Amino acid sequence: MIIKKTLVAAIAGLAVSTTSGAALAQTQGVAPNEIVVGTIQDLSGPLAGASKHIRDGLQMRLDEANDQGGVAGRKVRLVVEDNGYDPRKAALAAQKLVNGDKVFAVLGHIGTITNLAALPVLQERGVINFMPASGARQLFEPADKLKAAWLVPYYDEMFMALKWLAKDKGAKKVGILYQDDEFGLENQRGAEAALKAMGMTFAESTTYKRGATDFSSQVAKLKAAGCDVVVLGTVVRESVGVLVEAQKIGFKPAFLAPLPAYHHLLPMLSKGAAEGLYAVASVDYPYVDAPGTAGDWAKRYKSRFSDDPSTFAALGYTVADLFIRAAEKAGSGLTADSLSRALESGPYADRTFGGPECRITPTNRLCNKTAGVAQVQNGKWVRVVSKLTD
Amino acid sequence: MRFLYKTDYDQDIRLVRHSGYAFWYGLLLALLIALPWVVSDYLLDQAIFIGIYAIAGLGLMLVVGYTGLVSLGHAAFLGIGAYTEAILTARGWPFPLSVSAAVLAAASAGVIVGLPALRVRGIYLAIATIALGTIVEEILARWESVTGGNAGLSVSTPRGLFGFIGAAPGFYYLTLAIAISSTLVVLNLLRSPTGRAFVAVRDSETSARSLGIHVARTKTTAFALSAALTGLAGALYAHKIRFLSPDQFTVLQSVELLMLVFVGGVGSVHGAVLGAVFLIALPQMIAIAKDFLPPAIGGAAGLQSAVFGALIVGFVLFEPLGLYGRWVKIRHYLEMFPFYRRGTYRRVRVFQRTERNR
Amino acid sequence: MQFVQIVIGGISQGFVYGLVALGFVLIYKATEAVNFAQGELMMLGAFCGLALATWAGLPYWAVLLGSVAILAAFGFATEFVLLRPVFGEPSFSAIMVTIGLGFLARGLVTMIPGFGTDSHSLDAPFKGQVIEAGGLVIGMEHVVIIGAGLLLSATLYGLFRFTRIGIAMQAVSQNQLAAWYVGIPVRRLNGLVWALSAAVAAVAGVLLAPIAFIHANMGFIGLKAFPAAVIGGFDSLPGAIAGGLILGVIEALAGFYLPEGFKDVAASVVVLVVLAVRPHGLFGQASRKRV
Repeated sequence: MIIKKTLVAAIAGLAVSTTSGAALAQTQGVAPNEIVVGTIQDLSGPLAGASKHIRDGLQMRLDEANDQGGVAGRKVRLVVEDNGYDPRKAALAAQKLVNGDKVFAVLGHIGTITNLAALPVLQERGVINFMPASGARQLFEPADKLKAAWLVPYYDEMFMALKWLAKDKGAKKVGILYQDDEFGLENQRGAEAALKAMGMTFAESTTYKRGATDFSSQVAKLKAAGCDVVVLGTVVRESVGVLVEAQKIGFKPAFLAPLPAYHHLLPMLSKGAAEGLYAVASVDYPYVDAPGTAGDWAKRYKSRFSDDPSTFAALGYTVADLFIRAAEKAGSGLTADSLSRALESGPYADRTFGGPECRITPTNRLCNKTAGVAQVQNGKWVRVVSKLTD
Repeated sequence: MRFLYKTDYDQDIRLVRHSGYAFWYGLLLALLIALPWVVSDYLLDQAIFIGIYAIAGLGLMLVVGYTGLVSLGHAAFLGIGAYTEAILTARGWPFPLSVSAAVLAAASAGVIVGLPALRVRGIYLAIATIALGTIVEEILARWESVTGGNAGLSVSTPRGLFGFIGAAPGFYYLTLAIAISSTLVVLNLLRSPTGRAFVAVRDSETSARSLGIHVARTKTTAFALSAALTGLAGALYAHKIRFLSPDQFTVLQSVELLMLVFVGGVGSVHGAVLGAVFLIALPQMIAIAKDFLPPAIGGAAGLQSAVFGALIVGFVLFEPLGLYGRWVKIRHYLEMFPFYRRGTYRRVRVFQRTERNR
Repeated sequence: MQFVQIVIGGISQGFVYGLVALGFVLIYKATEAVNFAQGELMMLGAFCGLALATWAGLPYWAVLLGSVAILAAFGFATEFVLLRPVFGEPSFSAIMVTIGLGFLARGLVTMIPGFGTDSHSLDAPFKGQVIEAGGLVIGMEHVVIIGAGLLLSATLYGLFRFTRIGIAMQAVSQNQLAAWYVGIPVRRLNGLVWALSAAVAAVAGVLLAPIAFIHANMGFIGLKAFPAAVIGGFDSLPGAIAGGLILGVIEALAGFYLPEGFKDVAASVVVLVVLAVRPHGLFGQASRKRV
């Protein structure tokens, strides 16, 4: 009898402790006067430049919120961890943030494999993966209240952008040069799907290994195939390398690059070879001399960080902005559930950069599924079309 | 000071030399078994990674430390083990079978990678291993139908192990069991004729040959066993990291493994484990120390690489025997107190002579 | 015609590899140690050049000479600080030191605020110019690299073969003790060799900058220069250039005529073939292990 009673009490105690543990996990990172959020960036690997900007953009917005009294009276503190573009380090960084610093949410985590390695850690503890800096599909599908994504997958962006460009130029032969990894592959698949929808296939398909500096054989192949539109699955330096090579051998198709190439360094480094280049763009480029709110923001960024902002900095700022606004709506009873509901009660318009609005529902965790295209004109990026859809 | 009076050859090669060993290692074992109850999930996670990298380090140590062959392509074996395990688990194979297949696949690759070792040595061997590692990485990326190519491959939890291995404490015990058994296997191997042949080949190939040791076969065995161990670590790594992609197994990862072996202490089994602790704990310690540094330094990009590099250089300059070497010196000091003489461990410098012959 | 253009592209790229490989071979020839940080030395040379160009406003050729001088001093200092202490220890230690140096250099450069994480370009007076002949095109930057590669390898070959210092270096690499007995200042020579190798790396970095841009990870080209040095034979200076050439041409041809992905493994496959056929490289010396 006594043994049975003790057994029942023990099991009940276990049940209570696990459920109360879950309840505690929901409000971890939220104290009466402080909210702790984390971000995992690549501070020592190939994406260090982009990560620095994302982190600075996040910090800028959070500091602005703190200067105005915080969110519902709570100051927001950002903890930055380094994943070095390595999934092992990302998993460990996530562990540190979730179990060590006890963060409420992880904002703007960069890198696809790194996000996928860290996701189970966050899910187990009920920590939201808020607007990661990766377009991987698993970050918003299947729908879950702990997921919220801002970046449209490369596949969809390239699909929409290429369809528009191919039609605009009346393209007959489309070639592609893409990076030999998952980033390049996603772009290639999106472009392939776009061509299929128009009843075409690639006239020529070439790849390069990340970090390559020589593109002579690939560009020669594309020229030999007579391509009039070339899709690039490249980042800044490689795009410049390709464009310079093309200029050298007199190859002048319309080039279309993905979002990471939408960077002010590209026209700067290529010195004229990039003229006329198209790239996927979701906002107007935040040049310091841009008109309106974007330009004001860029001036503030530059005076604070002594560095010209890029779209990555704008991304960091936007992510933090969405977080602040949703958290304010959730009010003093801030939990993962209430934040999710606050997000769903949107839509949230982009007040600074003229980008798309964020519309999240319980079944759709991706803010928006639009893309735009910009072109290099006179050494500067000018957005030529926005809000393309499927 | 302890004096061992030996009357039997077996006492010379016993794994547990005296009761002191039994006591301390027994204590360590008890601590390791009790770990999930003592530390947080975060430290347990690190412990699992340490276990995995210790097994991989043992593999590399066998080839670099004990056979004297430089290998910069071991990440390829890690990758082969990981991918084989992932693919077979997805097809429903039970864990023991899939792990055995992963180990066999890695061992076969090891035999192939070991082929250049029979003809070239030194820097040429290092380059050959880099080349083979690159080729393996490329195969993993190209063979899309099987490995998912560059888009990656997700890994499900291990099957056929009574279902509870997926959760953290279960997986920790699995890793611990495999790590301990691998260590025992390697220790036993090293006191067997095969292991002694490895060391003989390292010290002088010509002498070994004149003693009747089949050098080519020894080198191939070394590579095969080393690859098998690393493949085993890869299989566990796949389940831990849950998402594989070819760029997790590049030359950089091989260099990291080499660093692990060097910092731990080349030529010792303890070195593999200590090196693994170093490799996993260091980023975390940097992350914690970062908060105490001025923001300009602590928040700077590239801090981890710089600290890593500085530590390696520091170890080479001040402690080339690695962490284990430092421990041996300390232990010797404590054992011999107050009769410790610094000259015992003075580094012997040899004038270098060319390996080339005109 | 297409074929010739591809080969020209391959030759241009091959000389880039060859320039970096020269640095490797130089150090190996004199000290039988491998410098895994050669790529990072090149990166430092390029950044040096960038600093001279932006802050001191020097013209390109002055920038080249300036970085060569600064890097030579740096190479000497590195040898003094890092390699003399490991003098006489197994070569594995020297290898690890250079690997550590590479990480350290990369990390420190990335840490430079505002500067380190971006890519930069360096303006050369010949940038963008091309030489066209009968439908074939070659960029002026590549012509300069080819010229520099030929000049450097010829000079260094002459140095090793015909001058006293060169012969002294060869003596040191063959038998240090005997060299000491004969009165050769072994340690000072090692420092000199490192200074030379760093200077070659600086030339490679500054000449490569207009093509490949200056960024903290540009040292990874060292990984490609390794196979080039191995193919040519690790102890042959003309071999480094030859190896680079072979590698560049094969890569270019593989990239054009073979299916995707072969361009990247071409280097590895060629290395393995050469090692299987001639284990000490095409122009290298055979080695024999002493008991």
